[in-house]
Amino acid sequence: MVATTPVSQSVPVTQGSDVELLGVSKNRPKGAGRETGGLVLNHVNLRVEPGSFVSIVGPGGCGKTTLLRLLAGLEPPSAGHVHVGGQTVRGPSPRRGIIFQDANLFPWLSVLKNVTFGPLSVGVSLKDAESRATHWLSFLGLSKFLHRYPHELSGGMQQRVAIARAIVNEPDLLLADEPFGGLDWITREQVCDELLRLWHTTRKTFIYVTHALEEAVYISQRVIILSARPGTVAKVIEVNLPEQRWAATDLRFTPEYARLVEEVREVFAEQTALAHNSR
Amino acid sequence: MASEELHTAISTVDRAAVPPPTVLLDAIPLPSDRIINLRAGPTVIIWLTVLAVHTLIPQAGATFKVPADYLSPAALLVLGIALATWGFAYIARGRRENVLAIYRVLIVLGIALIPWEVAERLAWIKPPFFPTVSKVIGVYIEDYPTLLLSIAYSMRLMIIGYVIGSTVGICSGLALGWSKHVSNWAQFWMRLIGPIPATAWIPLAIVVFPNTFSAGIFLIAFASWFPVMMLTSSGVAGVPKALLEAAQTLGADNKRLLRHVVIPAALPNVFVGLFMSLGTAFAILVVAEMMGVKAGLGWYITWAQGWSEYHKVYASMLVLGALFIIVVSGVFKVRDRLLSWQKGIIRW
Repeated sequence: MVATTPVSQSVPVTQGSDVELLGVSKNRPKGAGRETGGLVLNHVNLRVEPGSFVSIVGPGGCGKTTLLRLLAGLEPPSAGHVHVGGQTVRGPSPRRGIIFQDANLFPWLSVLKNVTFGPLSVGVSLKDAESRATHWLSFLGLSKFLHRYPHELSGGMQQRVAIARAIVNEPDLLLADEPFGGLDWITREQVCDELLRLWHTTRKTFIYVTHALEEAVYISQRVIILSARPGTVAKVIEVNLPEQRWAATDLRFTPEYARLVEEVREVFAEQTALAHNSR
Repeated sequence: MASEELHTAISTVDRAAVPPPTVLLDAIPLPSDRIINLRAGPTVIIWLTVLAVHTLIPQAGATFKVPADYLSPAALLVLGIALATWGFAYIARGRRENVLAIYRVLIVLGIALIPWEVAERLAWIKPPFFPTVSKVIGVYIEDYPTLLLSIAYSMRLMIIGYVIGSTVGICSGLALGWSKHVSNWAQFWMRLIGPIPATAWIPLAIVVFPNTFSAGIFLIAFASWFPVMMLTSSGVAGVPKALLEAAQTLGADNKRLLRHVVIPAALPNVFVGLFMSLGTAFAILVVAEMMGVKAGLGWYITWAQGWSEYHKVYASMLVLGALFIIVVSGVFKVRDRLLSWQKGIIRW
């Protein structure tokens, strides 16, 4: 059985915004550096409850990243509607934070200044911005590195700074695009736990794109599996595991966990096979 | 027997437990005494040779009047410096690298002066086109008021022109790299006008500007404008899209994007442009002063040439070189301040 840690605190208030994708499609022009143009996302319908943690997995090139970019407002959909918190997404906004595949820190700013960049952009005073930044940086175990430059940090630390930078604006929705792809497994598990802890504390809506299926099961409440390109929702799998998973050290060895991973893997394999057959 | 074995085992453990001496890998070892002596000794010998060649070889060919001898005191001064720094290297060990740098310059200078002095003593080379070393040194002593004034005038023209040129260059480069509209409309014309050599503008500049001073400023500004603009705009165009997107999702508006992302990201490129244009600006400075500006080192060179005073030409050429070093190191200082974050990324 899963060692369920007793949740003594009252259920935290959900603060995130709900996310709704209605018939969203994305078409890309052929050429221009892309070998394959055409439809990337095909009529995606999706609803994410406020304050939930959702993973998106899918075969390579199925439009996971595109989906996230649409949600962030970095690209407009070709068809359909993207609603976050009841409002149509029209462009990038500090209400929707994003953690990229690479940390993408500003190399000319110190760790602290990288994190204060967001608050200062939305008009927070320098003093408040710094206290908020130091709070999140120390939450992520970086209080000793405030005045270092990004290149002086390891990959895992850089990605933690990126998390702090995304969360410091207190966005209602946090998007993560395979953020830990470049990290080794131990670091990856640690940062995953930190992200989970962060979600648990803040209760924002988290949407996490990954290609590591186990990680998807481990980290989220729901796993959404996209079909092969053009991507559409193939299956949604609920993950009914305890919330404070970082405290349940043997979670990864429980039969429930194994069964869920197996389930995700099966759907994933089906979709990959379909992609190969259609080619 | 057994207890003895145990005892030796324990003692080995004890020995291993002693922490190894810490070695500071990062510390650069100071130059050894040997290196110092191997540089200071030859410096002294070479400059003694200079002095010997100068005083011992009789001057071939008669001269009406014996010119003032500036080389002997200069060589003695150099010898004094060499000996003083030799001692200094043993007192202040931390400054040894600086001392070695001085020796390297003095050694090369001395080696260059020996054949010059021999050739001149034996009358293989003849004035006025190839003056004596002593006469060139004499310029700095006899003609220094004019020389200093010329330096001041040159620097004024140079700095005003360069600052205007690079400011306009940075601004237009930012506009060109940042705005699609500006780029669409202006790119062609900038590329057409920019590469025209500044010297080709001289006829127009003389007519359009009220005096040669402002014409000179225009020419220098023009020469420094184009490289700065091109490098700035390519720097702006090369700002990683990912950084711009990151800044946008953090809530940065266009103004903040430009000020806090685009400009810092383009700055390394801007400095490449600034260094490139410094060379052309210097060339144009001398040309402008030779063409019409009635002051400055370019004017000094033409004027000296008119009187066949080639020793002054050479003396002011050396001054030009020294000024360039000073100005370049000034720009480097600014770069080091603004781009110190690059220290860990690129070879500094």
